[in-house]
Amino acid sequence: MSEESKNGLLHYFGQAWLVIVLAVAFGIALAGVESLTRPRILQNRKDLIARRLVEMFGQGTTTDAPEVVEATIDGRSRKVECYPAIREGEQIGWGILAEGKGYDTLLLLVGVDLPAKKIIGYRVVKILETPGIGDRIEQPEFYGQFEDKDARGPLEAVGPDTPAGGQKVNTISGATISSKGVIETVNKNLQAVREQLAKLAGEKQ
Amino acid sequence: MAEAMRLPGPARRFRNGLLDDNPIYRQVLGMCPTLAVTATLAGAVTMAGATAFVLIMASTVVALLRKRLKGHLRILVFTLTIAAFVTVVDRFLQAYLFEMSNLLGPYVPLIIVNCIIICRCEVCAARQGLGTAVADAFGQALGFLVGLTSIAVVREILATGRIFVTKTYPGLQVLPSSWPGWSIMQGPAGAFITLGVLMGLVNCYSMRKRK
Repeated sequence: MSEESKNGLLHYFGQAWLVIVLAVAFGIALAGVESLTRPRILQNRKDLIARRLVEMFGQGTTTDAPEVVEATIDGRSRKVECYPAIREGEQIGWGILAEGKGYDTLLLLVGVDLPAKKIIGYRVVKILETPGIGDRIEQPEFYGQFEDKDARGPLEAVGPDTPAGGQKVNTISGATISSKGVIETVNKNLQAVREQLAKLAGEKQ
Repeated sequence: MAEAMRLPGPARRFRNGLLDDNPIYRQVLGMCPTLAVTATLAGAVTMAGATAFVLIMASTVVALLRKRLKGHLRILVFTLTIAAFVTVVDRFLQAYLFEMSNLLGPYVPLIIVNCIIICRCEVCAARQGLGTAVADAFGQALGFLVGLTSIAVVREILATGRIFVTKTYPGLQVLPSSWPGWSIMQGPAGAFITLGVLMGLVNCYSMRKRK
C-alpha cells in the first residue's frame, strides 16, 4: 500500500470513526431488541389472524401454520400466506392473507371454503385508510356483501345505489377508492391462488 | 464558552418547550403526525410518548458525544442515533401495543424525519451539557404532548361525542348521546381546522401576555 493511500485511509478513519463506532454499537443493540421482541410480534400477528378467522368461520375455529402459495399478482411474483381454518380437527376453509391497494396499502384476510368455491367473507388485518372515510370498509354493512359470493368468478363493483346481487358489490359513497380497492384485492388474490388451494384441498381429502 | 454563557439554562429550556417554543404551536414542526394521528386521543398520546422516548434518548446521546462531533458529520450522527431509537420504539409498540401500532401505521417509523428531534439535537444537545439537553428534551416532549392532545381532544369529542375511544373501549361520553358526530373532524379537513383555530388562540394568548 502506497504512503498516499495509507494516509488517505487514516484520514478517512480519523473523520468517520465516530459514525462507524455508533453504527456498529446501534446495530448490535438493535439485533438484541429484535431477538427480544420478534417472538411476541409473530405471536401478536398469529393471534390477530386467528381472531379474524373466528369472526368469519365462527366460534371454535383455530388455525395452523400457513400454506405459502407462489402466485403472480399484477405481474409480480408473490408468496401468499393461506391459513387453514380448522374446526373440531377438520379443515373447513382457508384464510388468504391478501395484499392490495385502496387509498393506501390494504392487508385483508379473505375467507373461502375448503374447495375455494365460495367466499366466506373478508376481514381487515391492516388498514391505513383515512379514519372516518376509507376505514368504513371495516363495517359489517360493507363486508357483509362478500359473504357467500362465488369465488370462481370476479366480483363486480357497482355504485352505492345500484341494485346488487349475484357477483355485484355496492361501493361505499364517499369511500369509492377504498371500497373498490377491497374488491380488486379480493379478485386479484383469489384469481391468483384459487386453483392451487382447490388442488391442496383435493390432496387433503 | 462565550456562546454557552449566552444560551438558556436547563430550567428556561424546559419552560420554553411548553409554550414559548412549543414545537407545534410556535415552531410549527412535526406537522405530519400532528395532522395524521390526532383523530383519536389514544393515538395522539401514544405518538407523543414514542416521540418523547426518541427525543430524550437522542438528546442524551448527542449531548454526551458533542465534543467529538465533527461539523460536517453531525447531521449523519443525529440521523443514525434517531433512527436507532425509532426502530427500538417501533419494535416495542408492535410487541406490546399491537393494536396501537396498527392504528399509527407508518407514522411511528416516520418519527425518524420528525424535525422536532433533529432540531433539538442541533439547537441544544450538540451545544450544551447533558443536564440542559435532557431538560430541553423533556420540555419539548411535554410541549408536543400538550399540542397533540389538545388537538385530539377537540377532534375526537366533536367527531364522536366521546373521548378516549379505542377498538376495545367505547370511551367516555362527553357530549349528549344525541350529538350527531361531525365526521369531518376525523378527516384531514378537521385536523387542519382544529390546528388553525387552536394556533390562533395560542397566538392571541401570547400577544396578550406580552402586552
